[in-house]
Amino acid sequence: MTQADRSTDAVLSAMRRASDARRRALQDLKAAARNEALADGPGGELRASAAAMLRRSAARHAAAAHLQEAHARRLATWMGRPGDRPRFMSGVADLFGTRSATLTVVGSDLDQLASAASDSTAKAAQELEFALGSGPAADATSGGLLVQGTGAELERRWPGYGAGLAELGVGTVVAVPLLSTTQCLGALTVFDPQPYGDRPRPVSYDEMAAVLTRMLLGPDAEPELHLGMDLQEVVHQATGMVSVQCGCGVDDALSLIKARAFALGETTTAVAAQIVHEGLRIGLGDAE
Amino acid sequence: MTTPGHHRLAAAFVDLTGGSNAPAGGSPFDVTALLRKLANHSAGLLGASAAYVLLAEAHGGSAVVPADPGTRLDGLAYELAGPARTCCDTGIPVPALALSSSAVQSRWPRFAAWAQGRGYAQVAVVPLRAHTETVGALALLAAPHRPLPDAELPVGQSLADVTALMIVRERERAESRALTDQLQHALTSRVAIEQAKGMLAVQHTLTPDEAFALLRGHARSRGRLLADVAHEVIDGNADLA
Repeated sequence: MTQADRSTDAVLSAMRRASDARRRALQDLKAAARNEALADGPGGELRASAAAMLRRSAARHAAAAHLQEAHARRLATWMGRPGDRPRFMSGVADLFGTRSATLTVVGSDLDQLASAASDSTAKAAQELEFALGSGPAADATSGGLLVQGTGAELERRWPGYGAGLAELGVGTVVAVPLLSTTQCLGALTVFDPQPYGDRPRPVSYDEMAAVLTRMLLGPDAEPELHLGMDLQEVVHQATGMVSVQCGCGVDDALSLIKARAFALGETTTAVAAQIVHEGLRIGLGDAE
Repeated sequence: MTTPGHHRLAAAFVDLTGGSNAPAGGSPFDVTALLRKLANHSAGLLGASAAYVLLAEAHGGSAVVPADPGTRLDGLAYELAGPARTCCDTGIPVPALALSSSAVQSRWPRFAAWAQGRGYAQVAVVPLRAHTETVGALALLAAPHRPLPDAELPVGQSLADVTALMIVRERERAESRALTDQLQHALTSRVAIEQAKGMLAVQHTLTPDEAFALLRGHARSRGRLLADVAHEVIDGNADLA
């Protein structure tokens, strides 16, 4: 399959997902209208609450469709031209008036499993939080609540992280948990969102988190393909290598890699790549 | 307008939706108990002699839940070709009909014979509807001296719909749980496979690609899942030499 074929496939896949989401939105709207028509009868309160739930659900499907369509348009415009392939998350960032946003997914132990970033700033901020093991996404995920901070507050709250963000030129962070009906899947983090003042935002943080959660848990979800999620394979390979070289468990091995990255001011991914591709060996002394 | 009927109806809604005794996420959802409540409340409120619920195929099919063990609903297997099954399939309610009418006799002859043989004279069916689907059907049977009040059937419909919403909501909760587990399991497996590749690469002096080939070959030759073998490598319990 050529690069052009793959790009065409990606455009078609995004359009198909958009049309599926539109169909589901329409179904929910019809069902909501049926419930509303019966809201004056017996059990009216439940009907009304079901109708409200269906309207919220329809709005989420519509928002997902909008994101997929916008992504398809950007991919189609990009095809055959120079420059980086458009990332799904840049469409999400757009809706908050910024270029930078990340999506992280965690396991049942809250360890990060995968992430997607809209641009290099978002990627660097995400790497920083991953290396430090603390930050707004981790707090939003563990607390299940929206977390935000600005300026000096960031460094007070997350030592090392705030200073790093300032170096990246980021002043404000908002992180919101991705909540399924039963647990927290991860977080959406937006960097330097455009202030809206008294005007209503086109979409709220909670709503966008709900839309992304639904996309991650959809019946045909392929997070790597349609959300551009990165599993950071090289970091996990390096973790396995260091665990053998140092005779320690994988958790300790990952900590060693992160410690080295932090000490040298490099990203975890860069250090991992040196271990996997250039034969760099790190020892227990590195952690100190 | 407040009548004793309204109080009973309100109590039925509270009972069906869990009321103050709703399980706090701990106890498992009991669909049979919910359907039995629906049958009991509907029969009581509409003055039916007996009531039962049939679930649609997508929800387990043939579960028939009579209102009371005491009512004469033995041999209800005939319902598999009766009006509640039709309602499950079509989502269309069956108005109160005499079992002796040609409409019942021609469409559900075996059911009519079965119900008449147990002393019933009338049947009505309302679908359990939620969102866009029919989850099941609630059938009401009446004795000759106490016909079903046609005007009151919407009450039965409302009770049935609330029940359907409860069933669908619980199913959605279970699906969401399963999808979350599936996503996390898929990603966790990928992480373990990459870690195992790194370990094998060092242990056997291989490139990550060669390490993956070794891992996959081992899993295939033993008919094992790649992720399971990867976890054994990480735990130091695999011998891939």
